[in-house]
Amino acid sequence: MACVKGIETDPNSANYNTSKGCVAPTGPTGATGPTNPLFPTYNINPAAAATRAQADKDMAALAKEKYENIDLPKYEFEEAQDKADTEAKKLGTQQQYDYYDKLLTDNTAFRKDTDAFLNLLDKYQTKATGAEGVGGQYDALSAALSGAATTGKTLTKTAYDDLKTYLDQNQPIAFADAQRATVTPQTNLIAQYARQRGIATPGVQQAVQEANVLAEGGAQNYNNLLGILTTLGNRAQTSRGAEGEMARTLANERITARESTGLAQLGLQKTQALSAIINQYNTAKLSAENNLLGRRQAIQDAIAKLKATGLLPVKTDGDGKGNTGSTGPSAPTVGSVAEVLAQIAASQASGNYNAFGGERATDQPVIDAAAAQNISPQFLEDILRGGQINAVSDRNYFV
Amino acid sequence: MAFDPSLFTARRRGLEQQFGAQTAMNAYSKFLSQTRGQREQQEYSRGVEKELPRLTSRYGRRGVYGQGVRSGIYRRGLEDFGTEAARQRGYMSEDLSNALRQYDLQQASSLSGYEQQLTDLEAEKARQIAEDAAALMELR
Repeated sequence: MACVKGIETDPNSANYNTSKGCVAPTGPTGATGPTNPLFPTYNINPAAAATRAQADKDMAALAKEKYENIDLPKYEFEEAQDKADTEAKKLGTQQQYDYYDKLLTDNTAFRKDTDAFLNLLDKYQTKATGAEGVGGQYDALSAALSGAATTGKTLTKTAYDDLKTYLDQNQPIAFADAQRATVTPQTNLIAQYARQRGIATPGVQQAVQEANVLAEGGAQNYNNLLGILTTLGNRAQTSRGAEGEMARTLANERITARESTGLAQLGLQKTQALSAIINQYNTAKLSAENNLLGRRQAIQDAIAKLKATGLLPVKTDGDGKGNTGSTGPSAPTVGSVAEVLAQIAASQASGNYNAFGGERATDQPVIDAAAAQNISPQFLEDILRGGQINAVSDRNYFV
Repeated sequence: MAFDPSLFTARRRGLEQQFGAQTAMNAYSKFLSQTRGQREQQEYSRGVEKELPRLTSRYGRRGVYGQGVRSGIYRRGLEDFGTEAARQRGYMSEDLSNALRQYDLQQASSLSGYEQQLTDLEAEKARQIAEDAAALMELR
């Protein structure tokens, strides 16, 4: 009820819109003392109050019916749905966990794609370094070079054999076959004339003999000169033969040296090419292994997140510590750099370690992702090349 | 220079021609010298033979040679003449022999030079072939 200046404003009031008017409440009936403005006294209409009470009852009944027929079933439905969702999430989480755990424990499956890539890499490397690649080119070029050297030596041999034949067949004859000087003895022009006159001329005969001796000496000197020149000619011929043999040796040595130099250059080029291929091969292989390590670490991180959801069942083992419900092998331990190096060195020493290319031993730790990213490429390359690991000194490889 | 057989053949022909020309000229010069030398010797011998009667006649006019006369002066004069003739003829013969030997020696030297040059040519040819073989290998 609302009375404003004697007029009823409440539509539910019986006096509403009548001429009866109304009286504004002045405070509680029978109250003593001053009237409390906070708790004014109302004049309640009984009929209206009864109507209001009934309405309240109806509303309560309606609310109860709504609760029983709508709210409660809805709550129960939602509760069941939440429970089902939770179970589904648990199941999904468990399946995720099992999947990840299997990836970590089944190394063959985990490495399948990487190993396929590495096998392909091996095949290409073999092809690049084999008969169809650098090795084949080296063989072809070295064979061509050796063939050229053989041809050169054959030509050289033919040339100097021909020279030797010429020298043997054409001995110097200029002075050897030169006509030797002979002396025709002089006769005594007046001997017969003097003899006819019975006069002896021994002095004339002596002069004739002296002239003959003189002529004989001149002829002898000339022949001696020819002999000396013949000897010189023969020596010159012998010297030429020796020079020819020296030239033959020098020419052959020159060709041999050129062949050796060429083969050395080819060998160097082959080594450089193979080195480049091996570097690329190692880089690709290391990258693949590094990616594998990263993936393993990512899976471990994912498992840790799954564990943090609390959706995985908790089993209590003998020591009272909580454990996951996984029935597979435990996840690889993550060790520090020093621990990992020490265990790798121990595995390597026992002959069970195959660098990054083989099966991971069950007790072999993996390097945590952060440490793996800091591994020096030189260290990994040394491992791939079969280098032994020193647990102490090789820490320097970690940058 | 790459090996070219025709170049060596041409050089060989040049040497042969040069040697042939020298040989011919030398032979002809020797022939002329020999002819001249022999003629001089023959003339000298005939001169000696012609001079002998005149020499005897001169000694006869001086009375140191004639019928029943055999003086030492004549014998000495005849012997001096014969000795001088033998000496001169010896010189002429020696001069001619030396001259002819000079031509022979020159011919032998020419032949020797020809031989040496041919041998040089053959050695050069062998060396050129070896050089070309090495150069060809450098190109591989």
